[in-house]
Amino acid sequence: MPEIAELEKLLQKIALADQQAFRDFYDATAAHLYPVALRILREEGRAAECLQDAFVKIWLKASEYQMGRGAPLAWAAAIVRYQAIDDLRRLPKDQPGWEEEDWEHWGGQASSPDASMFSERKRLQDCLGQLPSDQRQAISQAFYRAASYEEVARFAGEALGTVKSWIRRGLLSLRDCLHHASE
Amino acid sequence: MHLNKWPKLADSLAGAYVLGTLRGRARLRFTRMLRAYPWLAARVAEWEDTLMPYTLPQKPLAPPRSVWHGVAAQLPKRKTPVSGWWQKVGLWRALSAGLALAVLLLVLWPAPPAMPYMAVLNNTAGQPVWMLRANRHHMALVTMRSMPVPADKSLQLWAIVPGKKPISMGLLPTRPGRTPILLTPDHLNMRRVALIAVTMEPAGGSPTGQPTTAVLYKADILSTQLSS
Repeated sequence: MPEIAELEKLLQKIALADQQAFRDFYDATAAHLYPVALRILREEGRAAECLQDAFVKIWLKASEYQMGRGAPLAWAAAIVRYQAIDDLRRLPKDQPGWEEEDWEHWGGQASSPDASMFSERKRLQDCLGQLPSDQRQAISQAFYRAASYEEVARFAGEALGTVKSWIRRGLLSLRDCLHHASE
Repeated sequence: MHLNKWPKLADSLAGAYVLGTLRGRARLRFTRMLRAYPWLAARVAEWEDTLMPYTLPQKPLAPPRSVWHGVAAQLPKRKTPVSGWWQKVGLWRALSAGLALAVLLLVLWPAPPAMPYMAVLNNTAGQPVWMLRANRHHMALVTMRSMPVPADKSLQLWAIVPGKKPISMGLLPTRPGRTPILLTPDHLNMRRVALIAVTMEPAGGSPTGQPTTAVLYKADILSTQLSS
């Protein structure tokens, strides 16, 4: 994992239009961010295009990053994720094979070289585990697949309103649990 | 709608935005609100910090090389460092006065049509603190001197369009520096902006999306384009 302090320093320079700093930021993060796009768009060409657009946004938005927030990679990953979600809207709606992977346990078993990242992952897994199973499945799908409410509802065979309330309630309990776990 | 009156709703919308289940027009509307309400953006940032670490992969995977080339092609062309131009004054002496002026204009205004609008905000001592340059949908801000602000306050910049409510242009930097070229908020057309104003707001920006205190500084937007 790239160093947080180093990435924040680079972002500070990028905000002042330092192109070398931007190149360094790209080199340090692109390989971590590409899979974020790939996982949602599931096709290399689309994911590459998405990553390109996302990095142009990172260049433009660097000054909005709150220094000391301590999560430059999460900030950049969010920009990639939002770009991928925007790109998804332009794709045909035939995305079969959701069951191809054990999405509910994705990321749970492998060991990350970064201990803090691993413990954060474990915290999320633990907190997800405390949710009722319908809420847990709906959130996991939305999260790992970037599925919309409609898609989760279709997959679960439930009414849209039901799924919306599962996700809303689930998110709020998840947040309480994560806050509690970090105290 | 004043979402700040419903913190739980705001929180779950922010969560759904980061999760990605908020789609379509609701998502667009929420994105607009984010630009107007810094406190809402802060909720989103919290959700991002909570959830995003889990989207990062166990195994990094390098993207195709074409990605960087595509990104680099969209960056502004590198210019000679701005900080050094006055050091060439010796060279200018050797040039005729007229030519020197032409060179000066070329250096100072590398692309006059690109950023035809500008405004300079002065402090109470009449010293320039911020310079805004803009074209219709882009803007860039130079902060020329430090502006100390209490820890629990932020300075917020507003665009004033006649007949409309003030539009937030974001929080002002308080240390010298320059921003990259940014998109104007909310598709604001700078051509319609009559003046810009600064208010002191709670840290993170106005909780209501509108100025909550009196205007501290203001400046007219000037067009450097000659009207024909």
